[in-house]
Amino acid sequence: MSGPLNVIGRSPQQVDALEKVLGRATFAADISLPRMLHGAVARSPLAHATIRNIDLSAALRVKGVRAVVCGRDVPYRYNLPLRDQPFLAIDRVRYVGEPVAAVAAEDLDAAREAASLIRVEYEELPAVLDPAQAMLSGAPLLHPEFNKYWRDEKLFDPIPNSNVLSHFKLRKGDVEAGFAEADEIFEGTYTSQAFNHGAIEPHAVVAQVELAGQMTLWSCQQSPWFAADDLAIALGWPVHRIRVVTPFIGGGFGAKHGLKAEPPAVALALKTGGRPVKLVMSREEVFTALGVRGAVTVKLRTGVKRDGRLVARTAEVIWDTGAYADVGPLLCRNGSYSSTGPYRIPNQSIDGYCVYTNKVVTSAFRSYGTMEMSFAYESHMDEIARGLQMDPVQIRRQNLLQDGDETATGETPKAVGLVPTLTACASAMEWDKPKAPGRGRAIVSTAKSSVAPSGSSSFIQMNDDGTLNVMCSTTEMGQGSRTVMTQLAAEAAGARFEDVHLIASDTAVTPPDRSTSSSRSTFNMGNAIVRAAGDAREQILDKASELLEEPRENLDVRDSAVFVRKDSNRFCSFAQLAGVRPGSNFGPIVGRGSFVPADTTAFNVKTGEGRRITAFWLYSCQGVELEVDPDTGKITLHRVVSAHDTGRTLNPVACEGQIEGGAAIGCSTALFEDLVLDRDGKVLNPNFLDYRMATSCDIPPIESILIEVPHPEGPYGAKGIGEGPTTGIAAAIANAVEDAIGVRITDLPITPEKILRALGKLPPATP
Amino acid sequence: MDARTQKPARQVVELEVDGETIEATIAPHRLLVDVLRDACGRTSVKEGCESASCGACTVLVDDVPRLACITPAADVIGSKIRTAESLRSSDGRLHALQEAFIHHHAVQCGFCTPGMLMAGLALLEENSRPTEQEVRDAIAGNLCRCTGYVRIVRAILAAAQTLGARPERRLPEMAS
Repeated sequence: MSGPLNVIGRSPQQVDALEKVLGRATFAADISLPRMLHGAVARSPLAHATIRNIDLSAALRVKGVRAVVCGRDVPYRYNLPLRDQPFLAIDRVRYVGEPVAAVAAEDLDAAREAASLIRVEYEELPAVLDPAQAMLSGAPLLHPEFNKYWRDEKLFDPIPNSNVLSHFKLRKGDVEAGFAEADEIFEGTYTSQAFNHGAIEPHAVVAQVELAGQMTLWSCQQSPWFAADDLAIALGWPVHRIRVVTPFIGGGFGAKHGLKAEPPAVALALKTGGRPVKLVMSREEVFTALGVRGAVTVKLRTGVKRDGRLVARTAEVIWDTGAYADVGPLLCRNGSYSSTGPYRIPNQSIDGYCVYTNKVVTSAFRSYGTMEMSFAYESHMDEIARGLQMDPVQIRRQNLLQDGDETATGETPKAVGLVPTLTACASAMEWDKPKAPGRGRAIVSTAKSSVAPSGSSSFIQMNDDGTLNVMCSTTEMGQGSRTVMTQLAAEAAGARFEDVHLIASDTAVTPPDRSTSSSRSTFNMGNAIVRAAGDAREQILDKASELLEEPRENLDVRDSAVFVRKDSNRFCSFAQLAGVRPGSNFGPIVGRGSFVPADTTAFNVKTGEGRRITAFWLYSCQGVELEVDPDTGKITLHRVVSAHDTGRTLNPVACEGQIEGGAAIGCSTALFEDLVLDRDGKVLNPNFLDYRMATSCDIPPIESILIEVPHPEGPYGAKGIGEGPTTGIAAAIANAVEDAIGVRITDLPITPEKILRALGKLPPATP
Repeated sequence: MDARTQKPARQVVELEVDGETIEATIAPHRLLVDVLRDACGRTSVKEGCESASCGACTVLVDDVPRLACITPAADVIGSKIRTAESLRSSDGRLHALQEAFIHHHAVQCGFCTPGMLMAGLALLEENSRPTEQEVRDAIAGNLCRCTGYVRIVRAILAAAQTLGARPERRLPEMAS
């Protein structure tokens, strides 16, 4: 890996851009197969009820209907690491929109008509929508049969006979002594709302079960191996009998990680005699039943010294997971320990509660809790700075983790890019100069871990013409992974960028990979690809040495050729070494790479301790400048400055694209987005007319700053980038609002109404 | 119930799509988005919301941007329909908008891209030298969750410049 880099650090044309501008990129909903049926789902109109009876007879009589299924046909449950969710409701429904039955028919009209004719007799149960209520003893239990579900007891602790499926505990140092030592104590409660992922492509899947017993899913699935695994366990099948193929994905953001639209489609495909079934979700279904970024309440109490040093913190975090676990237990763990923020705090006590409610299921969202936690801890940090009359940048600089410091869980992270991102952001914001009149501004810092343990693998095969096929299960969903993985393979193999073809995301072809999530792909899959390319390169050198009759150590590999170092007229091309065609003297070249970060450790579920719980961290600093109209409460964003530690910038434009998109999501969710439910648990705004997402007219200029603090284990030093840009923006906006007009908003989104209420220009909200 | 179970009669109609005359058998209530995708093979026309609120299905009908998800196919019989698949010229050259979207990395997941291209095309046919605000206004009905719109706006402005500088490129590519 020494020597000048040819491909890394540049921004070549994205490998899939041409297909996309031509309109030729195939998404799941574009797929059509011979003898394909169309599916529709009947859903629960009630938030909580037992199912007395399901009458499918009228649906079965509709012309063109080929299969109708309900819960009793598929008595399986999924979700890792807590298998609580049925494919179709069994005996009980737990949220409005839960799939109860499904229909496959010759055309979509017939499927929808039949779905509308399914008659379900319900007996309504009391619904519980507020997680604080749901936690109380005596609250109606969503899952009385909880103890019968399989769960991974090493990972989380439930509270028995309650709706709390996970209680995460972290105890570090001596909190009481820390508070006793403190000069000042600050307290605050911060609430992040529920919002939708907002991917423009609604979920879609085609499922086929061949009579020989092989199932294939063509699905908008971020994490094909993760989904295949979960499905295989549910069905009791070996994973290899489930093939997940992911075409292009029209935005994921976590909404398409793990089983989402697949279970009802699989339920149907098991009953259609081998005919494929296509299920395309409506926007309303996406809003009401395909996952949500759940609401979170964070209570913080922090003891500080007069000089600004943080000495103690308690945090209580309540995670609303909705009706089923999905990622809840791990989100509760990773999110809750992140409530520390990127700071050195010697004494801490954190309690995170993940709570069932009768609502759409919370799924992963880009940042996995760090948006919500950073809204809390960075709002809180400005309140502390204000209380101590300290400069907000100075107090952060003083407390930020640096190399050698210990995190909340007892980890000593490497290559910490917090101070460098803060310095760069403050400089770009001209923090040391007075702000423009009428403006408010703020700077916040965040840190986000990545999932561990977390394996990836890749094969690289040389083609007849000397080009390389890279087999990789990282899924392209807009983040640019195909281009970056191509760059890494080309660099490490010594090939030209244009000679590398990425073959992505088909579990029958591309080898195992945990998931496309958690900003993990550049680091984990990147390392696997570098190893596979290195392996291929070794084979290339062996063969070239034979062909050129020159010892290996005299050879250089570059630009898809092997050169004799001291005589560049003597060389051979990769094509001469390929060994693909019949009669070739050489055997085929196949490189193999497998990677799992070394020495990552599990958590102690009693203390929250974990000496290395992540292979790397994302370090970010976000600056915002805005103004507020005191008469209307309207916020106008003037600029966002977004600084991130990439470790090593593999592709500058792709990184900037991630930053711009992530920061825009931060702005949109801080100001506008809110999934609103009525008292009966029904979503009131399940469409883009009533649910406001930022348009081209709402997003201010976004300045990206890329800082490189190389990670010793990252591919060429790289860390991840995807999730950092969404974090911190909401707190920066809240802090800048206070800087501008002197009022603090602690519950998201920050709407004009809330600002006017805080200013006393509107009466307080009635609960 | 009666209205729903009674299947309306299907009719054979001719649609002019991307300069091609396509015969399709459709029920009168069929929406243009479904007919373009299912009967005309134009899967570049994306369906994101079914409620005229995301812009992914934007096509031009007689040069005016229309949302195919709320347009009955029967309403556009006799009109010229253009999709993003018409943008490339017959000799394979990309349209300046397509080139700019690639060059400026205005594409991430690509799902909103065809609709964005058509909204951009409608703007540039109407206004060959738009300001940034005019570009932002023109695509305000097209949602994108990946890019923050930064590079899409930049690409459309760049395409306007390219087209202004090379007017001869413009006409043949826009004839449908």
